[in-house]
Amino acid sequence: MKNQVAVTNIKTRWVRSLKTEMALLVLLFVTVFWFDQLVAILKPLIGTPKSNVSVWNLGELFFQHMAIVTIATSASLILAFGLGSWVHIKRFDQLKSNLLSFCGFGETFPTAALIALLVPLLGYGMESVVIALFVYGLMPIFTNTIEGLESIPKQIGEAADGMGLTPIQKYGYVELKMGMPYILTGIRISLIVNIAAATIGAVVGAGGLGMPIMSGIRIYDPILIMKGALPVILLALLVDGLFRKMEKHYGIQSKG
Amino acid sequence: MIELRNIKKTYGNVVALDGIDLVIENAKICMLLGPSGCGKSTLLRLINRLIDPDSGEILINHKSNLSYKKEELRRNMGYAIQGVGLFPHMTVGENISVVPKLYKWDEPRMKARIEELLDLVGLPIEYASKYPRELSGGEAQRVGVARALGADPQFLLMDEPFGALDPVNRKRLQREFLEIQRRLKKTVVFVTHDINEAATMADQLVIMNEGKIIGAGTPEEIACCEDDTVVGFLGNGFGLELLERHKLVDHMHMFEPWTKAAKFEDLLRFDRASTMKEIMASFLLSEKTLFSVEGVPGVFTYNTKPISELLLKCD
Repeated sequence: MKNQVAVTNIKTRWVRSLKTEMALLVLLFVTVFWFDQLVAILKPLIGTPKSNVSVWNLGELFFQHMAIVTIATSASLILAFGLGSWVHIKRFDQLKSNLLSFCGFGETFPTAALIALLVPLLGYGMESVVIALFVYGLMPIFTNTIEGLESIPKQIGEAADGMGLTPIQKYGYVELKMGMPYILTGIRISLIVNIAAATIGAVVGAGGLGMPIMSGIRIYDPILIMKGALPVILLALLVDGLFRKMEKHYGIQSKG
Repeated sequence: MIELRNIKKTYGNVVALDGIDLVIENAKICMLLGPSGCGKSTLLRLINRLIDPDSGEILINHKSNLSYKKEELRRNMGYAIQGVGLFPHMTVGENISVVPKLYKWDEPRMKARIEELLDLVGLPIEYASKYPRELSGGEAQRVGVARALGADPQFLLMDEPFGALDPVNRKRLQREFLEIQRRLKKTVVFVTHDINEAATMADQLVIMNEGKIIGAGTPEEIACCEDDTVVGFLGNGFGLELLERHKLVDHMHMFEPWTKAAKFEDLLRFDRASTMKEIMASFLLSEKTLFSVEGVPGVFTYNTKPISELLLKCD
């Protein structure tokens, strides 16, 4: 009984701490669906756009953008988390350190260059972008999965071994739960990077929020640029906030 | 029964264990005592195969410990370590039931076991739903012992389990552990560097130094050992430490009752857990001559005769 009270306390505290994220969500919704109306209202302040900004259907672009990011990051999550867990449980230490140094190297490779290299192979369209973002998303998730699983204090690891947990039981009972904040951080970094990087997709015809930005740059229309950039910024802030709260929540839990 | 035969273990150039032979009898507490780095923890970790020896053989119930599956072997050996190593994201109850869960006990049996163990280590049942961060050091250590006893293993391996506690809590937990052991009769291997702790708890006392056993036997035998290294490590006062093993309440017949009136402030008062060492030390430091014991009617006069009778005479 006492336990239940404590748990609901943590839960309600968590929901209550999401005020900023709620506000961001509302703001994002308004921007995506009423951008043209906003521009009309703010006309005295920001002036008239150089082009007809309402040509772009922001709702559609937003969902394209979301689709690219979600598909790419989910795929990286499945592969990177699975691979990280597997090399950890099987204690493939050599393979693990090779993969880690490969990730360190891979992160230095520019996203735009990777997309450009993929176009001749996969052609114009969503596929090249999704695959490029998938590859980028792998690295932070993989490194953080390993870091998280190795983050448990020596004593606790030894207690788990001494009690007779097999490596996979140790993973399930202890390491995964205590490493969760690190793993969430990896997913967060991956998502934020991909939300921003997905705008480059417009260049290779993948659609998404990069479209108005690219056109805006070409004809130098700041309002058109903002039409693409504002939702990207708000989405990134929202995702960042949500994940940070989750990390904190799991951080408290894994400290008991 | 645990038998170690000619165990050797080296780490690089460092010899951690050098030809260890030891037999640990069932239902006895075997205390491994020695300075830091003498190999006592290494020895303990060999028994449940957290490490394996370079050469030599370890028999558990007359069978080589290599013939058991590692996990099965460990589940039959409760393991309690310094700093406890409780899982912070699990409640006390969940921590205690980790090994029973591995054995796939059903829910009611597990619940009953949690209550039984909490009661055994002297914690209220409500503690089952607390998290480790909500416990004091002594409480966490009690839960550590309860968790080690989880699925009622035959053996208990303890690596300085009370090492991080303050002296008062440490003494209390030692006494409680002896009470528990009296009932459960586990085969206990207990590592410590605290001479007093070893003297208080040992059925069998093993003194180690630089990877070797330099003395083994009952505490009384060790107290009479004349080996220079053993005496050098234990000090000349070790015989006195053995008074810690005798409870005052068990020896009341050796003291004269005081029949005249006595003022309350003229008395030294002891409780039921007080030992002969405590009464001796208290009167050495006090000018009083009378004492009373909680739960024993009457007032008694102190004299040193019972102490000297209990003190060991080595021939």
